[in-house]
Amino acid sequence: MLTRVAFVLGALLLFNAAYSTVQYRNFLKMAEKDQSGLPIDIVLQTLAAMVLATWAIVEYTAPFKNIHGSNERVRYDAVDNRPIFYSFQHRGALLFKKQ
Amino acid sequence: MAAPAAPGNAGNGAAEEVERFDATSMRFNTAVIGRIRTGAAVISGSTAGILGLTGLYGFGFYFVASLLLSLLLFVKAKRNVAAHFSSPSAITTDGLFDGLSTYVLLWTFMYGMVHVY
Amino acid sequence: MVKQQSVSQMKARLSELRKTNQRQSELVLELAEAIQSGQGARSLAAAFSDEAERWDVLEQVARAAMDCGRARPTRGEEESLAATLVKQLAARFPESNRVKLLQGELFEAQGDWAGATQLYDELLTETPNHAAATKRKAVIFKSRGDIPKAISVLAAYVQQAMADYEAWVELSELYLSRGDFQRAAFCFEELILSNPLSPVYHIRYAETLYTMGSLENLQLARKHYANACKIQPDDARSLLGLYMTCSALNSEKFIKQRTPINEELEAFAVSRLKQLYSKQASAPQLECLNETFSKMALTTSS
Repeated sequence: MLTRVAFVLGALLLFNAAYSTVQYRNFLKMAEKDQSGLPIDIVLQTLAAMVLATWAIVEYTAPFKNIHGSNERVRYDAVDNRPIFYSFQHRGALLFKKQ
Repeated sequence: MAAPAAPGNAGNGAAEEVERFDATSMRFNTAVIGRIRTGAAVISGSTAGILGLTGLYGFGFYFVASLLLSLLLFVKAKRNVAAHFSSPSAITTDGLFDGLSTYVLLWTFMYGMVHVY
Repeated sequence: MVKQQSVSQMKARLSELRKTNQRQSELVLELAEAIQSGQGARSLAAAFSDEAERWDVLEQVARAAMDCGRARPTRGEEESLAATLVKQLAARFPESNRVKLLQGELFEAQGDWAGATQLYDELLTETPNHAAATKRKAVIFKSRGDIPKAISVLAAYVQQAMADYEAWVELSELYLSRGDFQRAAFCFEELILSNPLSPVYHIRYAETLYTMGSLENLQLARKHYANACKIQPDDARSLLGLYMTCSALNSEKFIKQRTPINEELEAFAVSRLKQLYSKQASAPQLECLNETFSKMALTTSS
């Protein structure tokens, strides 16, 4: 939940920064001032948004799985646990009969 | 099939560590990183475009952003890379140049939108 | 059998049994009953508030019921436990193939082969290669004692679904039940190819080869036992298998083909086994092991 909020926030900040930049450049165009460089606050906002959104993406995705098979030794008898092949014609009906 | 276990090892108490990794988990982790890299490339590309970066600065920024991403991935792996990846390059250099194309796409797009239109 | 445990502990136990596919049907039924009464719920379904868990549990208990003779109504019951549960599942998931499959299994448990076959055929016409339905059809033949037919159905299935390791294992079991070691060995080869790092298949393959005898088979068995020892160290089964194979190769019959590696592997197996048993086994078991070694040595070193 938090990561989703963080991502949306980051994306919004980014778009906001983009919009501010457009406005700033329009302003510069009209004022016919030097068109290179951005005000520091926009730069910081953009970078912060990037870090926030990137962090959110990293945290939002599923956690990594351990590749070392977590010492799960495949038990010899466990191989015979094949539920799809279970037959019900056995003595269970008699052995486990409810009295 | 593999050669029989070397009888010389009968001496040591601990058995030799067989290098085996759970393939499904490895694939899963690689897929996750792939998705993360794409998303991060979108974000960093947009950032570069908004900031008006050009030329070498733009490409340099990609590597800076990738460094940040590697750091975040390191933290995500709970600082234990070996438990989740067969080699540390998985979080540093693998997929670096795959993300680059996404990055450039967003970079040029946002630059065009913001600085040129 | 179900000691005094909290309801959540019992639910966790059920979940564990589900995940490991253990066939402990009597225990499952006991747990289900205990959970239902422990929560004072009207029905088993009501005892589970977590939707996802609820239906998994119903399926699990339905299968357990079929195993314990609750597929047909017992004395004093209008409808059998399994039938009730399946009905509840069908009501919740009317179009589900998974529920249809369970319904088919219920028919099988009730001995209604025609009903089950019809259901599976329906599934197969919908989805031509429905894996589960094909497998259940094979099980029907197995249940009715017609192993050759079961084998042919499964063999046809694995031809096109070669990655389905469960089917290969089942097929190997069917072949083994007929004494067809050659074909069972082939199944294990396929399994080893797709899961080279799973010790179990190496062991079973080696066991089959050892049973078949002959020099080549024993030598190959020795290789696979050794591999299993390497993958899963300190596994008594693979170590004992390695020892037995080496002993067999040491016998009079193969005296011309004796190689030093055999002695080394045998010594390795013996020492590892002694270590293992002295660490984990009780004194009588260790004594038993030592006696086995000495008796085997007497009979094979001629």
